[in-house]
Amino acid sequence: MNMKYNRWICIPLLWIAAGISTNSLAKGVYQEPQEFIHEVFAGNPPPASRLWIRKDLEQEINTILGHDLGVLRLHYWARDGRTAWILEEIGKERPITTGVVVNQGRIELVRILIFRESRGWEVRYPFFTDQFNDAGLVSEHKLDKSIDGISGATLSVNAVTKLARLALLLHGYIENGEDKS
Amino acid sequence: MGIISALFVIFLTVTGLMLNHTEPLNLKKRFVQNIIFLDLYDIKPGKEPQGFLAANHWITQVGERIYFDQKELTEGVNKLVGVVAADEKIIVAYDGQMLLLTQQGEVVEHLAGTEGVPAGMRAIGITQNNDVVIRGAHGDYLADIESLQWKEEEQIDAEWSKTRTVPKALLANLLYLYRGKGLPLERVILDMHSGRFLGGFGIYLVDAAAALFLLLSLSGVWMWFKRS
Repeated sequence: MNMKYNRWICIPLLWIAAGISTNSLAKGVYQEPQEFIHEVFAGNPPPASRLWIRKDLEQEINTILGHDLGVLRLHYWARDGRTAWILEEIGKERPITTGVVVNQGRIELVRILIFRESRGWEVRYPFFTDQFNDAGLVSEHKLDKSIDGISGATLSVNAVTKLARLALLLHGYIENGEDKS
Repeated sequence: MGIISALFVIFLTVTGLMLNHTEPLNLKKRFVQNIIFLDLYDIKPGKEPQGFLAANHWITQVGERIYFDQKELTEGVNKLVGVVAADEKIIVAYDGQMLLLTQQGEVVEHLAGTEGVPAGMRAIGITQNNDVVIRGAHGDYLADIESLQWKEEEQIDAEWSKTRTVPKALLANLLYLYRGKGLPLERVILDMHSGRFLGGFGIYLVDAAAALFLLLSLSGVWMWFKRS
Protein backbone atom coordinates (compact mmCIF):
# COMPACT_ATOMS: atom_id res chain seq x y z
CA MET A 1 0.00 0.00 0.00
CA ASN A 2 1.13 3.52 -0.75
CA MET A 3 2.82 5.39 2.14
CA LYS A 4 0.41 8.31 1.73
CA TYR A 5 -2.61 6.04 2.34
CA ASN A 6 -0.82 4.26 5.19
CA ARG A 7 -0.49 7.58 6.97
CA TRP A 8 -4.20 8.34 6.60
CA ILE A 9 -5.10 5.00 8.12
CA CYS A 10 -2.40 4.77 10.80
CA ILE A 11 -2.78 8.23 12.33
CA PRO A 12 -6.51 7.90 13.16
CA LEU A 13 -5.96 4.34 14.41
CA LEU A 14 -3.17 5.49 16.73
CA TRP A 15 -5.39 8.33 17.88
CA ILE A 16 -8.23 5.91 18.73
CA ALA A 17 -5.83 3.47 20.43
CA ALA A 18 -4.33 6.29 22.51
CA GLY A 19 -7.81 7.45 23.50
CA ILE A 20 -8.88 3.96 24.54
CA SER A 21 -5.71 3.28 26.52
CA THR A 22 -5.90 6.69 28.25
CA ASN A 23 -9.47 6.00 29.27
CA SER A 24 -8.67 2.53 30.59
CA LEU A 25 -5.72 3.92 32.58
CA ALA A 26 -7.86 6.73 33.96
CA LYS A 27 -10.20 4.61 36.08
CA GLY A 28 -8.99 2.55 39.00
CA VAL A 29 -7.19 2.43 42.30
CA TYR A 30 -4.31 4.91 42.24
CA GLN A 31 -3.36 4.21 45.84
CA GLU A 32 -4.97 1.91 48.40
CA PRO A 33 -6.45 4.00 51.25
CA GLN A 34 -4.42 2.09 53.87
CA GLU A 35 -1.21 2.83 51.94
CA PHE A 36 -2.15 6.50 51.92
CA ILE A 37 -2.63 6.52 55.72
CA HIS A 38 0.70 4.70 56.19
CA GLU A 39 2.50 7.16 53.94
CA VAL A 40 0.97 10.21 55.63
CA PHE A 41 2.14 9.04 59.06
CA ALA A 42 5.54 7.85 57.84
CA GLY A 43 4.72 4.16 58.18
CA ASN A 44 3.51 4.45 61.77
CA PRO A 45 -0.15 5.48 61.67
CA PRO A 46 -2.09 6.14 64.88
CA PRO A 47 -5.13 3.97 65.56
CA ALA A 48 -8.29 5.13 63.82
CA SER A 49 -10.45 7.52 65.81
CA ARG A 50 -14.20 7.92 65.47
CA LEU A 51 -16.28 11.01 64.97
CA TRP A 52 -20.01 10.77 65.65
CA ILE A 53 -22.02 12.82 63.19
CA ARG A 54 -24.31 14.78 65.47
CA LYS A 55 -27.31 16.78 64.28
CA ASP A 56 -25.49 20.14 64.29
CA LEU A 57 -22.56 18.70 62.36
CA GLU A 58 -24.88 16.89 59.98
CA GLN A 59 -26.52 20.19 59.04
CA GLU A 60 -23.13 21.76 58.30
CA ILE A 61 -22.12 18.73 56.24
CA ASN A 62 -25.35 19.13 54.30
CA THR A 63 -24.49 22.72 53.42
CA ILE A 64 -21.23 21.52 51.85
CA LEU A 65 -22.28 18.29 50.17
CA GLY A 66 -25.95 19.01 49.59
CA HIS A 67 -26.78 15.67 51.20
CA ASP A 68 -25.87 13.78 54.36
CA LEU A 69 -22.94 11.41 54.67
CA GLY A 70 -25.08 8.29 54.98
CA VAL A 71 -23.20 7.10 58.08
CA LEU A 72 -23.60 7.85 61.77
CA ARG A 73 -19.86 7.93 62.46
CA LEU A 74 -16.67 8.48 60.52
CA HIS A 75 -13.11 7.30 61.01
CA TYR A 76 -10.10 9.56 60.94
CA TRP A 77 -6.48 9.37 61.94
CA ALA A 78 -4.99 12.10 64.14
CA ARG A 79 -1.57 12.94 65.58
CA ASP A 80 0.11 16.20 66.62
CA GLY A 81 -2.56 18.51 65.22
CA ARG A 82 -2.74 16.64 61.91
CA THR A 83 -5.78 14.69 60.82
CA ALA A 84 -6.14 12.38 57.82
CA TRP A 85 -9.47 11.59 56.21
CA ILE A 86 -10.64 9.11 53.61
CA LEU A 87 -13.75 10.64 52.09
CA GLU A 88 -15.99 9.90 49.14
CA GLU A 89 -18.23 12.01 46.97
CA ILE A 90 -19.94 11.29 43.68
CA GLY A 91 -18.64 13.29 40.72
CA LYS A 92 -21.16 12.39 38.07
CA GLU A 93 -22.29 8.85 38.80
CA ARG A 94 -19.72 7.05 40.90
CA PRO A 95 -17.89 7.98 44.12
CA ILE A 96 -14.39 9.44 44.03
CA THR A 97 -12.36 8.23 47.02
CA THR A 98 -10.07 10.99 48.21
CA GLY A 99 -7.48 11.23 50.96
CA VAL A 100 -7.17 14.61 52.67
CA VAL A 101 -4.66 15.63 55.32
CA VAL A 102 -5.34 18.73 57.42
CA ASN A 103 -2.62 20.29 59.55
CA GLN A 104 -3.47 23.04 62.07
CA GLY A 105 -6.63 23.96 60.17
CA ARG A 106 -4.99 24.13 56.74
CA ILE A 107 -4.89 21.51 54.01
CA GLU A 108 -1.56 19.77 53.77
CA LEU A 109 -2.40 17.21 51.11
CA VAL A 110 -5.23 16.17 48.80
CA ARG A 111 -4.85 12.95 46.83
CA ILE A 112 -7.29 11.05 44.64
CA LEU A 113 -7.10 7.40 45.72
CA ILE A 114 -9.82 5.63 43.73
CA PHE A 115 -11.50 7.01 40.63
CA ARG A 116 -14.52 5.16 39.23
CA GLU A 117 -16.01 7.64 36.77
CA SER A 118 -15.46 7.45 33.02
CA ARG A 119 -14.61 11.16 32.74
CA GLY A 120 -12.94 13.82 34.81
CA TRP A 121 -9.98 11.71 35.97
CA GLU A 122 -7.65 14.68 35.36
CA VAL A 123 -8.38 15.69 38.96
CA ARG A 124 -5.87 13.04 40.03
CA TYR A 125 -2.91 15.10 38.81
CA PRO A 126 -0.89 17.26 41.22
CA PHE A 127 -1.43 20.34 39.00
CA PHE A 128 -5.01 20.20 40.30
CA THR A 129 -4.69 18.71 43.80
CA ASP A 130 -1.73 20.93 44.77
CA GLN A 131 -4.00 23.95 44.46
CA PHE A 132 -5.63 22.92 47.76
CA ASN A 133 -2.36 23.06 49.70
CA ASP A 134 -2.53 25.53 52.57
CA ALA A 135 -6.22 26.28 51.97
CA GLY A 136 -8.40 27.01 54.98
CA LEU A 137 -12.07 27.72 55.54
CA VAL A 138 -13.79 31.08 55.64
CA SER A 139 -17.47 31.87 56.22
CA GLU A 140 -20.12 29.52 54.81
CA HIS A 141 -17.48 26.77 54.72
CA LYS A 142 -15.88 28.17 51.59
CA LEU A 143 -12.17 27.80 50.84
CA ASP A 144 -10.04 30.90 51.38
CA LYS A 145 -8.32 30.42 48.02
CA SER A 146 -9.75 29.91 44.58
CA ILE A 147 -9.39 26.59 42.80
CA ASP A 148 -9.02 26.58 39.03
CA GLY A 149 -11.33 24.10 37.31
CA ILE A 150 -10.52 21.68 34.52
CA SER A 151 -12.63 21.86 31.38
CA GLY A 152 -14.54 18.62 30.88
CA ALA A 153 -14.04 17.64 34.52
CA THR A 154 -16.32 20.15 36.25
CA LEU A 155 -18.27 17.59 38.27
CA SER A 156 -15.12 15.83 39.49
CA VAL A 157 -13.55 19.19 40.37
CA ASN A 158 -16.68 20.12 42.34
CA ALA A 159 -16.69 16.77 44.16
CA VAL A 160 -13.02 17.04 45.21
CA THR A 161 -13.48 20.67 46.27
CA LYS A 162 -16.44 19.65 48.44
CA LEU A 163 -14.34 16.93 50.07
CA ALA A 164 -11.53 19.38 50.82
CA ARG A 165 -14.06 21.73 52.48
CA LEU A 166 -15.58 18.79 54.35
CA ALA A 167 -12.21 17.65 55.71
CA LEU A 168 -11.50 21.19 56.96
CA LEU A 169 -14.92 21.35 58.60
CA LEU A 170 -14.44 17.99 60.33
CA HIS A 171 -10.90 18.88 61.42
CA GLY A 172 -12.17 22.16 62.90
CA TYR A 173 -14.94 20.30 64.70
CA ILE A 174 -12.40 18.03 66.36
CA GLU A 175 -9.84 20.80 66.97
CA ASN A 176 -12.49 22.87 68.78
CA GLY A 177 -13.46 19.87 70.86
CA GLU A 178 -17.05 20.05 69.63
CA ASP A 179 -17.07 16.30 69.16
CA LYS A 180 -16.67 15.93 72.92
CA SER A 181 -19.05 18.71 74.05
CA MET B 1 -43.74 11.85 1.69
CA GLY B 2 -43.73 15.36 3.18
CA ILE B 3 -45.97 14.32 6.12
CA ILE B 4 -43.83 11.27 6.90
CA SER B 5 -40.74 13.45 6.75
CA ALA B 6 -42.32 16.03 9.03
CA LEU B 7 -43.19 13.36 11.61
CA PHE B 8 -39.60 12.08 11.55
CA VAL B 9 -38.22 15.60 11.84
CA ILE B 10 -40.43 16.34 14.86
CA PHE B 11 -39.48 13.04 16.52
CA LEU B 12 -35.75 13.42 15.92
CA THR B 13 -35.79 17.08 16.94
CA VAL B 14 -37.60 16.43 20.23
CA THR B 15 -35.41 13.44 21.17
CA GLY B 16 -32.29 15.34 20.04
CA LEU B 17 -33.18 18.34 22.17
CA MET B 18 -33.76 16.08 25.17
CA LEU B 19 -30.38 14.40 24.70
CA ASN B 20 -28.72 17.79 24.37
CA HIS B 21 -30.00 18.67 27.83
CA THR B 22 -29.41 15.39 29.65
CA GLU B 23 -28.05 17.06 32.81
CA PRO B 24 -30.84 19.60 33.50
CA LEU B 25 -33.50 17.04 32.58
CA ASN B 26 -31.73 14.54 34.86
CA LEU B 27 -32.17 11.80 32.25
CA LYS B 28 -29.34 9.66 33.64
CA LYS B 29 -30.94 9.45 37.06
CA ARG B 30 -34.55 9.01 35.96
CA PHE B 31 -35.38 5.39 35.41
CA VAL B 32 -37.92 3.62 33.24
CA GLN B 33 -40.38 1.63 35.36
CA ASN B 34 -42.46 0.12 32.57
CA ILE B 35 -42.20 -3.67 32.68
CA ILE B 36 -42.48 -4.04 28.90
CA PHE B 37 -39.45 -1.78 28.41
CA LEU B 38 -37.53 -3.52 31.20
CA ASP B 39 -38.22 -6.92 29.60
CA LEU B 40 -37.32 -5.59 26.18
CA TYR B 41 -33.93 -4.46 27.50
CA ASP B 42 -33.57 -7.68 29.51
CA ILE B 43 -32.91 -5.75 32.74
CA LYS B 44 -32.19 -8.34 35.42
CA PRO B 45 -29.40 -9.16 37.88
CA GLY B 46 -26.42 -10.93 36.35
CA LYS B 47 -26.48 -13.71 38.96
CA GLU B 48 -28.88 -15.31 41.40
CA PRO B 49 -29.76 -13.11 44.42
CA GLN B 50 -28.08 -14.19 47.68
CA GLY B 51 -29.87 -13.65 50.98
CA PHE B 52 -28.70 -13.77 54.61
CA LEU B 53 -30.89 -13.56 57.69
CA ALA B 54 -29.68 -11.69 60.79
CA ALA B 55 -31.70 -10.36 63.72
CA ASN B 56 -34.90 -11.10 61.78
CA HIS B 57 -33.84 -8.93 58.86
CA TRP B 58 -32.99 -10.07 55.36
CA ILE B 59 -29.81 -8.71 53.84
CA THR B 60 -29.84 -9.60 50.17
CA GLN B 61 -27.52 -9.04 47.27
CA VAL B 62 -29.36 -8.45 44.01
CA GLY B 63 -26.98 -7.82 41.14
CA GLU B 64 -24.38 -5.34 42.40
CA ARG B 65 -26.66 -3.92 45.11
CA ILE B 66 -27.23 -4.91 48.74
CA TYR B 67 -30.60 -4.43 50.39
CA PHE B 68 -31.58 -4.35 54.06
CA ASP B 69 -35.05 -5.85 53.82
CA GLN B 70 -36.31 -3.59 51.02
CA LYS B 71 -34.00 -0.62 51.62
CA GLU B 72 -30.97 -0.26 49.37
CA LEU B 73 -27.78 -0.13 51.45
CA THR B 74 -25.01 0.14 48.89
CA GLU B 75 -24.15 -0.59 45.28
CA GLY B 76 -21.12 -1.59 43.27
CA VAL B 77 -20.80 -4.81 45.28
CA ASN B 78 -19.12 -7.83 43.80
CA LYS B 79 -19.82 -10.44 46.51
CA LEU B 80 -21.82 -10.34 49.71
CA VAL B 81 -19.79 -12.61 52.00
CA GLY B 82 -22.14 -12.90 54.97
CA VAL B 83 -24.07 -11.15 57.71
CA VAL B 84 -24.03 -11.56 61.50
CA ALA B 85 -25.81 -9.91 64.39
CA ALA B 86 -23.81 -8.99 67.50
CA ASP B 87 -24.22 -6.44 70.31
CA GLU B 88 -27.48 -5.09 68.88
CA LYS B 89 -25.72 -4.35 65.60
CA ILE B 90 -25.84 -6.07 62.26
CA ILE B 91 -22.52 -6.55 60.46
CA VAL B 92 -22.57 -6.94 56.71
CA ALA B 93 -19.38 -8.28 55.10
CA TYR B 94 -18.65 -7.81 51.38
CA ASP B 95 -15.66 -7.26 49.07
CA GLY B 96 -13.13 -6.82 51.90
CA GLN B 97 -15.38 -4.25 53.54
CA MET B 98 -17.97 -4.20 56.30
CA LEU B 99 -21.05 -2.16 57.05
CA LEU B 100 -22.09 -1.78 60.65
CA LEU B 101 -25.85 -1.29 60.88
CA THR B 102 -28.35 -0.53 63.58
CA GLN B 103 -31.20 -2.98 63.84
CA GLN B 104 -33.30 -0.42 61.94
CA GLY B 105 -30.91 -0.61 59.00
CA GLU B 106 -29.16 2.74 59.52
CA VAL B 107 -25.49 2.63 58.52
CA VAL B 108 -23.42 3.35 61.62
CA GLU B 109 -20.10 3.10 59.82
CA HIS B 110 -18.21 1.65 56.94
CA LEU B 111 -15.07 -0.38 57.63
CA ALA B 112 -12.39 -1.34 55.12
CA GLY B 113 -8.67 -2.10 54.93
CA THR B 114 -7.81 1.28 56.49
CA GLU B 115 -9.64 0.20 59.63
CA GLY B 116 -7.86 -3.15 59.60
CA VAL B 117 -10.48 -5.41 58.01
CA PRO B 118 -8.48 -8.55 57.13
CA ALA B 119 -7.57 -8.96 53.48
CA GLY B 120 -9.32 -11.58 51.36
CA MET B 121 -12.35 -11.91 53.63
CA ARG B 122 -14.08 -15.17 52.72
CA ALA B 123 -16.54 -15.69 55.56
CA ILE B 124 -17.96 -14.06 58.66
CA GLY B 125 -19.30 -15.87 61.68
CA ILE B 126 -20.06 -15.67 65.33
CA THR B 127 -18.61 -17.67 68.24
CA GLN B 128 -20.53 -19.11 71.17
CA ASN B 129 -19.38 -16.06 73.19
CA ASN B 130 -21.01 -13.79 70.59
CA ASP B 131 -17.67 -12.60 69.19
CA VAL B 132 -17.43 -11.76 65.52
CA VAL B 133 -15.03 -13.89 63.50
CA ILE B 134 -13.59 -13.17 60.07
CA ARG B 135 -12.06 -15.83 57.86
CA GLY B 136 -9.50 -14.00 55.74
CA ALA B 137 -6.99 -15.07 53.11
CA HIS B 138 -4.32 -15.65 55.78
CA GLY B 139 -6.38 -17.19 58.58
CA ASP B 140 -9.13 -16.54 61.11
CA TYR B 141 -9.47 -13.30 63.04
CA LEU B 142 -11.39 -12.52 66.20
CA ALA B 143 -12.84 -9.08 65.55
CA ASP B 144 -13.57 -6.43 68.12
CA ILE B 145 -15.51 -3.99 65.98
CA GLU B 146 -15.77 -1.25 68.63
CA SER B 147 -12.04 -1.02 69.28
CA LEU B 148 -11.11 -2.08 65.73
CA GLN B 149 -8.93 -4.94 66.95
CA TRP B 150 -8.41 -7.94 64.68
CA LYS B 151 -6.71 -10.78 66.54
CA GLU B 152 -5.37 -13.59 64.37
CA GLU B 153 -5.95 -17.09 65.71
CA GLU B 154 -5.71 -20.66 64.50
CA GLN B 155 -8.96 -22.08 63.08
CA ILE B 156 -11.68 -20.45 65.21
CA ASP B 157 -14.76 -22.52 65.87
CA ALA B 158 -17.73 -20.42 64.86
CA GLU B 159 -21.17 -20.50 63.32
CA TRP B 160 -20.44 -19.16 59.85
CA SER B 161 -23.00 -17.03 58.08
CA LYS B 162 -24.73 -18.96 55.30
CA THR B 163 -27.08 -17.99 52.50
CA ARG B 164 -30.75 -18.81 52.95
CA THR B 165 -33.68 -18.97 50.62
CA VAL B 166 -35.16 -15.50 50.44
CA PRO B 167 -38.98 -15.47 50.83
CA LYS B 168 -40.63 -15.32 47.42
CA ALA B 169 -42.64 -12.15 48.12
CA LEU B 170 -39.54 -10.27 49.31
CA LEU B 171 -37.49 -11.52 46.38
CA ALA B 172 -40.17 -10.38 43.93
CA ASN B 173 -40.17 -6.91 45.52
CA LEU B 174 -36.37 -6.72 45.47
CA LEU B 175 -36.25 -7.71 41.80
CA TYR B 176 -38.86 -5.04 41.07
CA LEU B 177 -36.76 -2.45 42.95
CA TYR B 178 -33.58 -3.59 41.23
CA ARG B 179 -35.08 -3.51 37.76
CA GLY B 180 -36.63 -0.12 38.50
CA LYS B 181 -33.15 1.36 38.80
CA GLY B 182 -31.66 -0.50 35.87
CA LEU B 183 -32.76 1.41 32.80
CA PRO B 184 -32.01 5.16 32.67
CA LEU B 185 -34.38 7.25 30.55
CA GLU B 186 -31.35 8.61 28.67
CA ARG B 187 -30.58 5.18 27.22
CA VAL B 188 -34.12 4.68 25.89
CA ILE B 189 -34.23 8.17 24.32
CA LEU B 190 -30.78 7.67 22.82
CA ASP B 191 -31.88 4.35 21.31
CA MET B 192 -35.08 5.92 19.99
CA HIS B 193 -33.12 8.80 18.48
CA SER B 194 -30.65 6.49 16.73
CA GLY B 195 -33.30 3.92 15.76
CA ARG B 196 -31.58 1.14 17.79
CA PHE B 197 -34.76 0.80 19.84
CA LEU B 198 -36.19 -1.23 16.94
CA GLY B 199 -33.02 -3.28 16.57
CA GLY B 200 -31.05 -3.47 13.30
CA PHE B 201 -34.17 -2.57 11.33
CA GLY B 202 -34.52 0.73 13.29
CA ILE B 203 -31.06 1.91 12.23
CA TYR B 204 -31.96 1.39 8.58
CA LEU B 205 -35.29 3.15 9.19
CA VAL B 206 -33.49 6.24 10.55
CA ASP B 207 -31.03 5.97 7.62
CA ALA B 208 -34.01 5.92 5.25
CA ALA B 209 -35.48 8.98 7.02
CA ALA B 210 -32.14 10.79 6.67
CA ALA B 211 -32.05 9.90 2.95
CA LEU B 212 -35.61 11.23 2.68
CA PHE B 213 -34.58 14.55 4.26
CA LEU B 214 -31.67 14.77 1.85
CA LEU B 215 -33.95 14.07 -1.10
CA LEU B 216 -36.48 16.69 0.05
CA SER B 217 -33.73 19.28 0.60
CA LEU B 218 -32.18 18.69 -2.82
CA SER B 219 -35.52 18.60 -4.63
CA GLY B 220 -36.62 21.77 -2.79
CA VAL B 221 -33.45 23.62 -3.79
CA TRP B 222 -33.77 22.32 -7.35
CA MET B 223 -37.42 23.48 -7.57
CA TRP B 224 -36.53 26.87 -6.14
CA PHE B 225 -33.79 27.30 -8.78
CA LYS B 226 -36.16 26.17 -11.54
CA ARG B 227 -38.84 28.71 -10.55
CA SER B 228 -36.43 31.58 -10.20
